[in-house]
Amino acid sequence: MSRSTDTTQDMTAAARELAGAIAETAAYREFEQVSSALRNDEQARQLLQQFQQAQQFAQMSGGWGGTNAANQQQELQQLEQQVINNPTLSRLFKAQEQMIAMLKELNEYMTERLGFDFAELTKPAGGCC
Amino acid sequence: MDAELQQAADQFIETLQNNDTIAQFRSAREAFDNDAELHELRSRYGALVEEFQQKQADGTLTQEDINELRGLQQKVNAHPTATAMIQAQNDVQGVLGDCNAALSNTLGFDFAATAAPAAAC
Repeated sequence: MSRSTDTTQDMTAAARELAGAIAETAAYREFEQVSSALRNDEQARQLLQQFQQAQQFAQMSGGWGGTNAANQQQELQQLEQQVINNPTLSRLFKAQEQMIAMLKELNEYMTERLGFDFAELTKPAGGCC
Repeated sequence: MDAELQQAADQFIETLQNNDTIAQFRSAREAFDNDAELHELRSRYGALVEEFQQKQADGTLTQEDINELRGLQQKVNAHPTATAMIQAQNDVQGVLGDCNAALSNTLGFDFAATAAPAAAC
């Protein structure tokens, strides 16, 4: 077996170890718990879906200059308020925010030591915005 | 960052640092950053793009301008230091992609897409 194959296997094993350590953090555990709570909360899931659809529709109609822009904006704001007031969803957003902050901090730590941005170089290519 | 997470990150970083493809990428990138001829070509290309956009906005763009920009772009892309860098980057993305898949499969979401800095639009 070549040295390169050895290090590739070492790297994927070390990546799995790192994923295991991430999964043990309080931020990840909270995210897992709240994701599970969301799966069991039909009302919260429906509200989230409704809000996401309204957001998407507002973006699309903004693009082609829809005529009911003011009504759509009002509906979107009402839904947003309901989302903020929903305990499962507000907990979900907070957990997501904390987990993303933890992952970004980890990536910055790796970037400083590696001399290149691991996540930036590896993330899937995508359009801007 | 908690101690266990940092320890696992250090171990991961160390294995990445020992990989030949990653070492080749770092060296190709250093050459790319320090190649004076390539730097000059890229600066000229950047200036020409700005000029091109201005002429496009003014409606004074000519076929000659388009040809000049294309010619310079081809020169940049064909420069040996640039081609070596592009090849090394493609290779390293394959290796890092395997690592990201190992991370993401355990976590249940794409690690790199979540941890990358926000895109500047």
